[in-house]
Amino acid sequence: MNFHTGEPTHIEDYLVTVRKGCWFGWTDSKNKIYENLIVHDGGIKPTKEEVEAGYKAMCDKWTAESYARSRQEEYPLWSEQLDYIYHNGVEKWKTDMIDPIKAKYPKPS
Amino acid sequence: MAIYFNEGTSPGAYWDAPLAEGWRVTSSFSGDAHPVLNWEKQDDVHGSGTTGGPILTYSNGVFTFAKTAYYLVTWTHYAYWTSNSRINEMYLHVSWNSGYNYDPHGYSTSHITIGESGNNTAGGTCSSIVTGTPNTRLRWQVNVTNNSVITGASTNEQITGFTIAKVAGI
Repeated sequence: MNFHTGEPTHIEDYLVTVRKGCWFGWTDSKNKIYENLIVHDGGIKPTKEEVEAGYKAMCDKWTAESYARSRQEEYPLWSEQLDYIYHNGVEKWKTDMIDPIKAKYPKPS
Repeated sequence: MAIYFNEGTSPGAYWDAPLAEGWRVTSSFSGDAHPVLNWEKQDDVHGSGTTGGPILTYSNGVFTFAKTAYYLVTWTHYAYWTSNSRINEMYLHVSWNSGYNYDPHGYSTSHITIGESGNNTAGGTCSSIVTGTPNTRLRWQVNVTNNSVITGASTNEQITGFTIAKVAGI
């Protein structure tokens, strides 16, 4: 995973969501493929299909939410928005500050 | 690469011993862990102590000293998540009787407060002096108040892990 952005980059990003703690490891930590996945806690090892599907779902979710991340990066600071509301009102805040960004990064239908 | 300390005027048993090592957790995990597993010795080209035998040996979350001395242990816990976590701690537990009993010896602590979208990271660091003997054991514990918090780890970089260096002979 990209620690800064949260973008999933490896099946390990899915595995950490399956159970808590150090429940899994790798027979070869330099080659983290499903075939090298081992279970430490005596629990069930997820199937390769489950792992691949779980990881794909995380990646799809990440991609689907890109519009929201883009919007958040472009919204002005809260202090600027509150100042704008104070001087211009909520409707102007919506039309001048928020709506253009929402239109620039539309939510996928 | 090993780091060597001059033992003074008379080179002794530790003259050629590797006197510093780096260890790291190779796999990320969520929530608490006790003990923390999946450790490996730092194996980057720029360094880990291997010449002359190791300082520590490792098995199933437990470290055993191969060289008797006083050591400085410094560890770092890299935690991240998308929501708040008041406390993220990484404990060093030390056993003086070959692993029958352990005492908490020190802990790093940090907290995560949501600032921006995506992940918010927190790092905790702590140092402690440990008397390493054949009966000494070390292991680590992670405790987080938000059980979804992920402890970041990697086999390519020192993300969560520790360094250990000899500071004096016994």
